Amino acid sequence: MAGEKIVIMTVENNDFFRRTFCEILKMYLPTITIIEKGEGDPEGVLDLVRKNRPLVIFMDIRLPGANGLELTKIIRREFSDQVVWIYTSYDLPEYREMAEKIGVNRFLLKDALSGAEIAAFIRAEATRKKERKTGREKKSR
Amino acid sequence: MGNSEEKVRIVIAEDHTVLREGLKHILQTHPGWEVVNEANDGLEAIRMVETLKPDLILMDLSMPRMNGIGAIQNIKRINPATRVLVLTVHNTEEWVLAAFKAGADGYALKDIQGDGLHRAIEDVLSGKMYISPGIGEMIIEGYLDGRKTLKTTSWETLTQREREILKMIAEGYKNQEIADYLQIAKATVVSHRNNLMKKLDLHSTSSLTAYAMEKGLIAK
Repeated sequence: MAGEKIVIMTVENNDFFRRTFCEILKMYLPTITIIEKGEGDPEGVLDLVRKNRPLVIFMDIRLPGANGLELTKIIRREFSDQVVWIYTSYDLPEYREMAEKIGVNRFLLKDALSGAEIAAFIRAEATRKKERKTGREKKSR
Repeated sequence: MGNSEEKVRIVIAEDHTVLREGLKHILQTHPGWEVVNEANDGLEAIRMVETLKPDLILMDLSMPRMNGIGAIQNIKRINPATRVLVLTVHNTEEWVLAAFKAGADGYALKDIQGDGLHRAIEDVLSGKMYISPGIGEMIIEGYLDGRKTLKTTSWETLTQREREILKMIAEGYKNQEIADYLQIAKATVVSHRNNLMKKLDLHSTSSLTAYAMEKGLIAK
C-alpha cells in the first residue's frame, strides 16, 4: 500500500481553490498525483480520463462550459466504473437528486470537509480498489 | 503566554474548509502571526471579532447566510481597530467599491501568488491600504470615465439588512429560519421581504433568487 501510486483528478474552475486543494492533499498524501482541469470542456476532460484513469475524479458542478453533472454522464458513457465524487459549495436538492440519478459515488460539500477527511476518503477508495482487484484475481483462479 | 500575546492575532473568515486550512497553513509560516480562530460565514466572523478583538481579519466576500460586505460594516463598528483584508475571487468594480465603502482596509484577489498574501497583510497591518494589482487600475479608469455617475439603481436603494435577507431568501431559507439566524422576529423578516419585492418590483421567490444571482449575492 505504501508504495502504491494514487492518481486522482480535479475538475474545478476556481484556480485558488484548486491550487490550495492540491497543496493540502499533498500534505496528507505526499505521493499523490493530481490531474487538474479548470473548465467543463468535455473532450478535454475525457482525454485526461483516458490517459490517466484516475482513482477518483473530484467534480465541481458549476463550471464554465458543461457542468459537472453533465461531464459525469459523458465520462460514464465511456468508463462506466469511473469513480466520481461531486465536490461543490451548493447543497441543493436538485443537484443531489440529479447526482443520485447519474450514480455519482459521493456528494461532498466544500464547506464541510477538511483536508484530513478528504485524504481519508481517498485512502479508503484506494483500499477498496485493491480489494476489488484481489477479489477478481481469486475468482479467476 | 507572553510570546503569543505579542503575536499578530488573525481570524480567517472563509466558508470552504480546505481553503481555510490552506490559508492557515500559509499564515503560520510567518513567526509573528497567529490564527486565533476561523469563521464559516459573516455572522460568525462578527461574533469572533466581538469576543477576540483580533488585529486582522482575512475576509472572503461570498459566504452563505451573511456575506463579507455586511460583516465588514459590523466589524468596523464593533471594533474599528481590527484591520480587514478582503480575499476574494470577485474582481468587479461593484464588489471592490462595496467592500471599501463597508470599511475594508485592503482588497486582495485569490489569484495572489507567492508571498503576495504576506505582503498584503503586512501593508494592511502597517496602516496602508492594499489593492491587488490590476484592480486599482480598473477603479481609476472607472473614475476617469465618469462611469460612477450616480444613477440610483433599485439595488442601491436596498438597505444592508434587506440585502442580507435577499441573500438568504435566494439560498432557500424560510422566513422562520432567517429570523432565527439573524435573531429578529419572523414578522420583521416578512416585512423586509415585502419591502424587497416592492423596491425591486419582483413578486416571487424565484424572481428574487434570479435577481440575487445577477447581483452576485449567490453564485450563478
